[in-house]
Amino acid sequence: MAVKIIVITVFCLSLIGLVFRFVSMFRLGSVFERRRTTLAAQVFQLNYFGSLFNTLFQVRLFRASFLRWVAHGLVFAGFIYLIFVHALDDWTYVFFDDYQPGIDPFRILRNIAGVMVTIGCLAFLWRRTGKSRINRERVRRGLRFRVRGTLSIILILGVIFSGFMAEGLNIMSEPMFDDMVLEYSGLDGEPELIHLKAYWEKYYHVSFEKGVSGVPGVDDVSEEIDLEQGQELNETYCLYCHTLPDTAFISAPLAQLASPIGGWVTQFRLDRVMYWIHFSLVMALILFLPFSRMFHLVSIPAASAGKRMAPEQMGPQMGLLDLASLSACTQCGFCSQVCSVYPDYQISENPQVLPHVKIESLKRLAGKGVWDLTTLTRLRSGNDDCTRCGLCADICPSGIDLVRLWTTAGHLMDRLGCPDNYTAAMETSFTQWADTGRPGEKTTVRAEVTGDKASVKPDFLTGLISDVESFEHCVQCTLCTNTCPVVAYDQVQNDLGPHQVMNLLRLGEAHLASGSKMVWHCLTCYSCQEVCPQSIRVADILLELRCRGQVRAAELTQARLKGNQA
Amino acid sequence: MRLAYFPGCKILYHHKDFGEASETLMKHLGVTLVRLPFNCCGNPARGKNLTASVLAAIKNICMAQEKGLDILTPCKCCFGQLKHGVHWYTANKDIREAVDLALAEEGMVYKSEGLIHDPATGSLVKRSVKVRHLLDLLFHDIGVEKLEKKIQHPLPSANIVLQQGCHALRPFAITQFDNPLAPKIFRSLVQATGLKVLDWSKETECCGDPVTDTHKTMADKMRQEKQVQARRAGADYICTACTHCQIQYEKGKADLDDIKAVPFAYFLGAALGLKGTVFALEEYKKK
Repeated sequence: MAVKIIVITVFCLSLIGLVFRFVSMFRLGSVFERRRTTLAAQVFQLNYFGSLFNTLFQVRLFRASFLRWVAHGLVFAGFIYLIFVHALDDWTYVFFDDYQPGIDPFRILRNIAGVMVTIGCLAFLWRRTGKSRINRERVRRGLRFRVRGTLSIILILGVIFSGFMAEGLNIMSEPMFDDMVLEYSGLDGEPELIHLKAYWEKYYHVSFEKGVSGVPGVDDVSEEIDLEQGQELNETYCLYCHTLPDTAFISAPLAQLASPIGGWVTQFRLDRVMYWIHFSLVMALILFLPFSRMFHLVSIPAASAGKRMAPEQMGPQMGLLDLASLSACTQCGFCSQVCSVYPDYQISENPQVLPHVKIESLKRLAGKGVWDLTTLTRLRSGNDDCTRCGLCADICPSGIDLVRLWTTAGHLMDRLGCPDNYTAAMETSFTQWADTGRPGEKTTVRAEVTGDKASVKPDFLTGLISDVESFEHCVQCTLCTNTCPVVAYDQVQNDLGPHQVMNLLRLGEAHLASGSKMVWHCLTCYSCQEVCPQSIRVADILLELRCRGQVRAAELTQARLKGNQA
Repeated sequence: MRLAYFPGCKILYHHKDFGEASETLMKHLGVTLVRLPFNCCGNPARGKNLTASVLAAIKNICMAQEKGLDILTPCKCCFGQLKHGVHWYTANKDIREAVDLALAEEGMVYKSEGLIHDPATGSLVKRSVKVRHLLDLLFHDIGVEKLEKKIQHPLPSANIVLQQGCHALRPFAITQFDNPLAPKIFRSLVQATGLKVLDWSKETECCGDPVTDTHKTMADKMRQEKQVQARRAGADYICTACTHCQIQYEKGKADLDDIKAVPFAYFLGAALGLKGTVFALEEYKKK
């Protein structure tokens, strides 16, 4: 009875937790312009079949990596078996003829399932020590151990191990034997019990504290121990529910190993204690399901039901941050493993380039708003590095529409007052741009601002601007400006022609030049460079100026954000 | 003929048809395309972090090098950037050191020479990996004459204007693709299909795609101006040979009474009689 009350309470709490997660998700979603029509339209366009298929067989994971699918499949299949046949046996016994936990095949299958889950979980843990990109990024950040995702695995391992221990202690428990004798046979207090005890000690690994010599309530047991008689009694009373326990190939050896502490088991009822440990761990697993990595059990079916958006659809739904998908991320790292712009991360060392890090930051951004300016600017920078190639979304085992997520993230940050560097440069006048941070000033501080080590090191640039030779021969013939499409098509926003930028360089105003609209709007068509009679690498110089300007633009954005907050 | 196929990011998500058409075409012409786990060419990072863009390019080249293959891309921006990457890697010592360090992190080494499968001769040659564009391969290794012989359904002589695509043409010193002022490769290939190529003023001008996210007004203006000019020149279609150009023109679907842009691979496929909706010959017949 107590067990049932606890189970029902825990299930209810877990359900409340799930409801809370979903409600808070939609509440957060509505912070950013929520479009109900598209939301409703989505519900009817869901890919239910794909979702079911992905949930039951993890087809997307299979396509991503066979080995990972095997490991995950071991845990998944083992767990499903244990839940249906073992944990819920009070209800599911009707599906089987003669279900008894103590007979085969149920006992051996239970052990096999336990071993499967254990092997899978150990593989999960082992993967966290490898050289994958997700691990390397963690090591670089000095985080050796991922607590959150690992906690669920350790909890599962705890459940399985305590289960094995509980079964083992049950097998060897003397009080358990006595209870069963009392309940299911008429032998209590009969001298014949001695034969059964002997038989069970020999074949069923029960550990009797005082040997088999005594039967409680009978003073004088003079009979010789006769195993054959024990076997007969066993067949009469026990065999229906208890075959030989050796098929429990993990629990039975555990029982034998534990035989030296047989006295304690009897004294403190360690078998019951272990049962309750096992039970509480399972309850803990259910209770924390909505708030741990295990939430993916619920969110992946939801996320993989969504259909991926085609590039031309991206427009109308931009405002909606797909939080259901965000929470379906299990941090498996496949996205970062295939990410097209991984080289950007390697050089800039900005972790926010990597999809799996971006998702975590986006979650926090959705939950807390602007919580940390440095991370936000880095997220902006990393998200802008993304080329929307869609490889991450192709491989994502949870079926998250990541391309859509990155596009929405950009719009979301726009709305939070953190525009991309182009926009920041456009919104800045020359005087504002040149006001602080002249070239060479406080470069280390600036590196912290963008999280981008390389872009502030002049050595890492083309070196054209630091080399006077590369532009001083400009004769201001304006051929470049005459051929430039930006000059031709944009007479509203554009300020300088390429030849004027070259002149600024000759005046030693490289920093000022890097804020020019020309530099930021350059199409990189190289027309100017091709026609230059002095062989000046005009386009390459414009690009280098833009590289330098990125730092200043991010700095200005951050200053504005700080102003907004104050 | 065997080459490593470099689709480029834009094909992977924004224009899958373009990639499929190029692959079908190559298969038909007896070119085996090998898929490698390439990353971005590095072009988008050019204006942000040069070293990162060079690393991206060199990493791709390293992957092709390990397999002993040249790289084939249908995108002119990828083509140009891969060449730029090699240029900056050789020209700048600081960049080279940073790139080598990052390569070593993933167990890669860039070698300037190695045994490479040569597409023209089919034998192994000791040289560096070459970056090839689709047009470049069609023109130099397969040849216009051979193509003309293979063409079974010459297209009706619709009027075509060409959008050359900047990053393969310029800067010539680095890309070495074609004459940047009077390009001939694209033109002769289109003519081989039976189409009529017209002269127009915008042939070598930028399509406007690079600023489409940051300066949409200018990008739209550039596209509209080109459509007007193409119509004025009497063209029925604009022919492209770069993913970015094609995407840029397709954004204008709602504009004007629209002049359609078609990737060259579609035209050539139609002329060769390939199956597939993009190659449907009817589509390109003048009304």
